[in-house]
Amino acid sequence: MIEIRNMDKKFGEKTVFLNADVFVDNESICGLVGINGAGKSTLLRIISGVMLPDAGTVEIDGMPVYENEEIKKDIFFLPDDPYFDVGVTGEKLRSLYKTFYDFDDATFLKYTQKFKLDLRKPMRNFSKGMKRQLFVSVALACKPRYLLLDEAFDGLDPLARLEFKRALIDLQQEKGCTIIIASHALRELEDICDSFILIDESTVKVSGKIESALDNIFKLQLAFEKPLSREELPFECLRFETNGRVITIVVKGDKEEIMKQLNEMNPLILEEISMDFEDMFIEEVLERGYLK
Amino acid sequence: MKKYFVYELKKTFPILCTLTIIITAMYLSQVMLTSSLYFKAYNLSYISSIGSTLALLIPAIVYRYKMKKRSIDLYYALPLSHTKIIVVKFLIGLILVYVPFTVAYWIGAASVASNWYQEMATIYYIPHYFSTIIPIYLIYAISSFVYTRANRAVDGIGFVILWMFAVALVMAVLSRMTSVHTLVDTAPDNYPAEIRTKVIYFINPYYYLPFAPLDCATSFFQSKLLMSDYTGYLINTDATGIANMAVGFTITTLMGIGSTVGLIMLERKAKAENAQQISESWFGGRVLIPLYTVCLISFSSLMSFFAPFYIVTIVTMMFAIYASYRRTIKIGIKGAIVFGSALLLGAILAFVCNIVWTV
Repeated sequence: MIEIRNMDKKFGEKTVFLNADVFVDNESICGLVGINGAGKSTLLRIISGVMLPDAGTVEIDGMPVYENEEIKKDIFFLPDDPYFDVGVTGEKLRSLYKTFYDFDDATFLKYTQKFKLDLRKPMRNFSKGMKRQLFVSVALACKPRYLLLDEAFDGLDPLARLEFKRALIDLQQEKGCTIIIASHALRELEDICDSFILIDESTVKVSGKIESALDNIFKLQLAFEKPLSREELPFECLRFETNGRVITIVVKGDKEEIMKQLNEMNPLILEEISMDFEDMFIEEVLERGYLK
Repeated sequence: MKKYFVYELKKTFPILCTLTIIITAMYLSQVMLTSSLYFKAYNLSYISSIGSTLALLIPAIVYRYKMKKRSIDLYYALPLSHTKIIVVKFLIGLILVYVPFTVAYWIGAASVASNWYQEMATIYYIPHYFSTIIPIYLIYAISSFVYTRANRAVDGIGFVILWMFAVALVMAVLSRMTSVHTLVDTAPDNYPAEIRTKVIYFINPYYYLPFAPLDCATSFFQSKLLMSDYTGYLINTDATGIANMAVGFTITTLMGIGSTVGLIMLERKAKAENAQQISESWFGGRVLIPLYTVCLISFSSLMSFFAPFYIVTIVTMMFAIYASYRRTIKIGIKGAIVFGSALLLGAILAFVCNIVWTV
């Protein structure tokens, strides 16, 4: 299990994390979401041992991560813009990671062949998507116990994304891998993640199972005989929009109870509009005043 | 660590081969093209310069991973401690310095020795080679430590250049402060006082350069190659010379040892987020720029007509270096206080240095 407690992290005057707690269960696929500059990449770097927090503890299976070679053998961190030396080819990249990880050549070749990557060509001649495909192949071949991916889907075409998502699920099921994916592609995350962490305002604002979170937030479209104001509703709304007599609200809470209260108000229309993970994220950050 | 070392060695092998071929070709062509015996012996300076240049520049190649956020993400994410990474890089750097130098040296020496010059004691190539090992190491260690105090490659190169002359510069100031004027007995009385006086310097700043031990060893063995008893133009065998050499070489040795230890021990505290940021190390521009300002201002002859031009030039130059280092022309209150204090101290030292001590 990944456990971060009371973490502080500042870059100069900017506070990225203040007294933040993060917990990720083993063998889960966790989506790490947040607005731009929230600290997603920083969190991944802290978990992978690239950075040390200013305060707090970062542990995996009860052991501190930073400068811990044994634990780091089980961690693979793929940043959003991975580094490679000038003149490096796919073959040379394989040599590097084979030096440190229990590298599965068969898996590496399987995916590089699927993506039709020429391992003899210098990577500087690859497109952005091809570089991402190569690094994804490396990540899958290393078969780590903890896989940390920053903007994993960025640059991948739809088919490559599908292949990648399948591979991640296989990795989790076959190897018990714990995967954390930071991404703005929330619809992609919803396909494979079972849990999520939303970072905002220097801390973890919301976290947990995606299914439970979506059960707890819903969007309704209502209409009444007379126009209704927000204050007239018997509960708090995350969002309240009117379009003539039609009202769209986003609410958090017990759906049954809220529906019962609304039905008592005799609406002309009462309809639930489905919400996905991206809708939920938008509501959460809008509530905190983002882009207002 | 062993596996990582082997990986780095394999990765660096093409650069090593290329460097060796280029350096060897350079030295060999120099040796073969010089016809006079004196210049053939003098080529020892050429190969020693190559060795010291390699020692100075190779750190910029091996430690460049610390200067970019992307590369630091890669290295610090690997299951290897920061200390082990830097030790491996340090060793690879040593190989990149010594292998091309050694190959070029012995091929050049063999080329000279194969001509069987009777006026040349080519046997001295052997002790000369061994006399270069430690001085080259010291330059490499100091350059490695100083370069890695920076967070950007440009800053690192700047720090290395400034540090190479820093101690000698301070000693140059001390040398001026402790110099005495003495009347030359042999000069006729009717000669002007300026011509009749001689300035005696007790401190020779040259010996405080990190290159000095290598230069002196090379100068000594050049003479031995030519079967001369002369100790070489760089080696001063009087009491002042010996004292300067002893102190200067000791300082360089301590700097080299301290740099090796510091490089390894401080690496544990290196932070990934510092890459590409302004370098705030006390071993960098923070101290070097004010130090250079103080020393260079102190060299001005306050009574001279050119003193104002000299001071303005120094201030402008140091401000430009400071602006480049801080990436802004806004020096702020703190910067202004540091600059102002450096100027004031430099002026005070200039005044002290301009006092003539006469014996």
